[in-house]
Amino acid sequence: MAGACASDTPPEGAPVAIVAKIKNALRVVAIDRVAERRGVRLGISLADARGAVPDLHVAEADEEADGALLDKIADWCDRYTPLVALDPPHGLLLDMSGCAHLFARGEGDGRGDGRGDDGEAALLADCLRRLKDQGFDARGAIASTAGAAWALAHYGPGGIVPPGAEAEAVAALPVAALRIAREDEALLDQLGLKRIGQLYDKPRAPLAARFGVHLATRLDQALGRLDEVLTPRRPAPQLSAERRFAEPLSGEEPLLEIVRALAHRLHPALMRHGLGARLVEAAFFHVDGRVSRASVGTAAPLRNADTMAMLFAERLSALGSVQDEGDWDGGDWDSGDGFDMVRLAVRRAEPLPAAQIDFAGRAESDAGLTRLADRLSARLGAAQVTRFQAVDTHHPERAVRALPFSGPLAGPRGNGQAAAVPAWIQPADAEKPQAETPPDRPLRLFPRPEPVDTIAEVPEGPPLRFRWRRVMVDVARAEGPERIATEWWRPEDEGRATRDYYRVEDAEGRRYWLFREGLYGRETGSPLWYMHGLFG
Amino acid sequence: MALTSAAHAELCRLRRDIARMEGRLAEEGRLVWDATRTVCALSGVAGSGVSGAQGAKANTSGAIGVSGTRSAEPNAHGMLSLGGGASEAAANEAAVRPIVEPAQETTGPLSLAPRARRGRLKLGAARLDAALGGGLPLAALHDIRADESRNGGAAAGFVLALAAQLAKTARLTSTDDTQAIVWISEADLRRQTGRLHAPGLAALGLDPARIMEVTARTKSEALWAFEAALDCPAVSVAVCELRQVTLDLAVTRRCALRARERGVTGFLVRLASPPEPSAAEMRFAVSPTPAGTIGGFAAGIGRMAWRLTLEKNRSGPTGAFSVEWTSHERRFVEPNQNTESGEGDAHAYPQSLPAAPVDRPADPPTIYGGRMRFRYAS
Repeated sequence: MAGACASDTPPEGAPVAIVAKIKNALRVVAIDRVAERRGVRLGISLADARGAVPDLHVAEADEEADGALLDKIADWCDRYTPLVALDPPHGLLLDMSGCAHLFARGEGDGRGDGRGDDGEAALLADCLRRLKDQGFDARGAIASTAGAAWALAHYGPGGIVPPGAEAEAVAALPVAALRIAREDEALLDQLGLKRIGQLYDKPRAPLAARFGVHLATRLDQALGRLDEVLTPRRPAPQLSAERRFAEPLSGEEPLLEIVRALAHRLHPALMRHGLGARLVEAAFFHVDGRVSRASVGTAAPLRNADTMAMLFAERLSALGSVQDEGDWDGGDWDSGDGFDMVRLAVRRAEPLPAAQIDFAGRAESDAGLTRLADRLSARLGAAQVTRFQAVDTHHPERAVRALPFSGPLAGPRGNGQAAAVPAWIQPADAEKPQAETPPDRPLRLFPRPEPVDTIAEVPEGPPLRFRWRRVMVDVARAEGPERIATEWWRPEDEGRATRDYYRVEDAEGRRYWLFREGLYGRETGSPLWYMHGLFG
Repeated sequence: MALTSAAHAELCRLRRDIARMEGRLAEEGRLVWDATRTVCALSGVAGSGVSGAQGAKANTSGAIGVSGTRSAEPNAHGMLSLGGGASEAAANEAAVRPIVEPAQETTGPLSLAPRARRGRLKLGAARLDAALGGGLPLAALHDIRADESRNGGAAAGFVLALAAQLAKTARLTSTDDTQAIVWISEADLRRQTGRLHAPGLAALGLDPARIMEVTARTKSEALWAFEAALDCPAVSVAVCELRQVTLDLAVTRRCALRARERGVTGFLVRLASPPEPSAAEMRFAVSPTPAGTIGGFAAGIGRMAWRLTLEKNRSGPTGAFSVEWTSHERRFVEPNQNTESGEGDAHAYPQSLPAAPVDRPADPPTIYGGRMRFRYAS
């Protein structure tokens, strides 16, 4: 499928042209049918177009918006196949191997050219009809090779090419349909090679010598002699289940019921493969062509359908109240026109052996902390539910990494990891006689040290009093310094100064962790003081 | 006699069930058994659940009042003894012993928590433990309050110390390995007081790998997460940290109920918040106090220390206490108490108290001017 062209909405019946600056001249890059009828052609300069059609409505091309629109259409095309590749500026390539037969009965109106598979014809007709309903003028073609389909959609009548008939289908098309550079096209034109069919029996070596490998490659790709790899926008899910509705469906509860039913359909498949989901995505296809997605990550492989449905219920209720979610495009959830399809896809899965079910009917692995983490992450966002990982450094800000507890970023947990990650330094057990030491690290740390105005002894004394958050604090006791030098081997520590940390207590007993940045006289003349943490 | 006690048992059970269905804390009729004499006494805890210390519980103080008189226990007003036969027996028999009630029995069939999570956590500071009735009740909701938000460090430190001690004792008494700590805070509070710092927690005696840190955007989200955490049996301690919050009594009741059913100890840490009625078992106001000394080194900043005001206590008197934390032994001590003697170790295990011997009097009760007082069970 290719050739989508947006029809904008200026005054009714007026000729419209879109212009863009090409080589310092405004040139027409897109026109509507009225303008075309009245003689505007693509590629002419704006002055020429204005001369031909004085009442031409002109708009500047907005490539970014075009790209975003194409992206949205590609999203919508997910309903036909998970493998959708962008073909900018105006095209999409859909790999629909194994998808067409799903359309053999049902939504399609059955109009095909009769040569191809019924399912393919129905799919193409359905796709074009729906795009037309949305206001797009599109042309589509189905062929065994991407090259042939592209050629037919851009330069031919579209339609369906039966397998093996690519060569004759594209033979009559101009050479530009091979997706070659404009210079090559002009050169071929000069040589009198205007149709693709004329290239079939030409010797390859002179062609390659004249035009490079590119032309030969494109020709081979169109004819299926060479494989062409499409790059899908989104990786294909490992498993998915979907449901289409004859009538649009709206409202949260019915949707959640659908999600639950889909989760139950995924369960046997996950079971058969011995997998559990780590990242599940629900895609809701709006009637108006938008697609909303919500995904749920888990801390441990998950197979239970009801738990999955519960997580989506949390996720959707959170999305209902908060609009600024990253993975929720088209923010206005449930805009009222309803949905005509829901798909539940397992984006990431991990092996999960079959669980033993106890007499009460509960699988053992199903309880516990991971489910709580999943539930909290679904509602609050995966980045909000974290666990600590030790980092081998003595720089306080970097000593801890906060990893999301669940979701695809959460690594495996458990004893196996203990070797790779440095352990925490724990105080010795009371059983072993050892001298008691005061805590030397604060319980709470400010991610960004806060500057404080300090009166301190020069050069290396502890602070005597300081002003933090507009409150003057008198220091009653201080201990230190603990000197922490920069890790000079790290690029981000370039230009940083040595820190002298002091543990400080005020008259009432609040305990703070302050540091002075810079060694007096050696690194700086006026060291700055920062508040970095609070002790219990 | 046996019939009466059976009827009482049935009554208690029904009350609990009704309370559970209505989603409020049970007006808890605790049933106390003495196997030898078939004495059954019902110590009623008044059901308002809000107004603080309303009655001493038989399992901790061991006091059984004679019907019609008030117990000699200074704060144990409202000590009832129901059931005619039972009270007579209690009156006649001076040797009614402190009776240990296994806390497990008061929980319903929903209880999924390991046994070690019930009962009380003996903190180690004798005066505080006595006031708490033997230790901090586990599987309950507690309200920790600080007047100013800059005392947030102190309040958090106290809660973390409690969690560390609980983690230590749980490791000693059970093989259960799912002792997670869930720490929930509001996003703007976290900006103000900083994140939890794992090396500091490790120095306190907590394993940072067991801590789940949750950031909630709003107070209601934080309370929702708190409730979810209290509902998870794999969690041992759930903490919800809020600033300038007005509590909804229904929410705290739900939280208290979940905490009890699942055996999770919940701490509601409220900064810059006034005392408020809640369904919490205890309410502490925490304020900082100069650190304790270690090994006679008076100039240094030693042990973490707090001044605690026990503002509400369902199982004993209120009062003010000063405590220090020894991360070395992972328990609380009273200031200036020498912990090197090892004397405190006898109290370090928060297990249910051993059953009273049946063949001999355990501890003769002290006589206070015609009224009897039984020794603390601990």
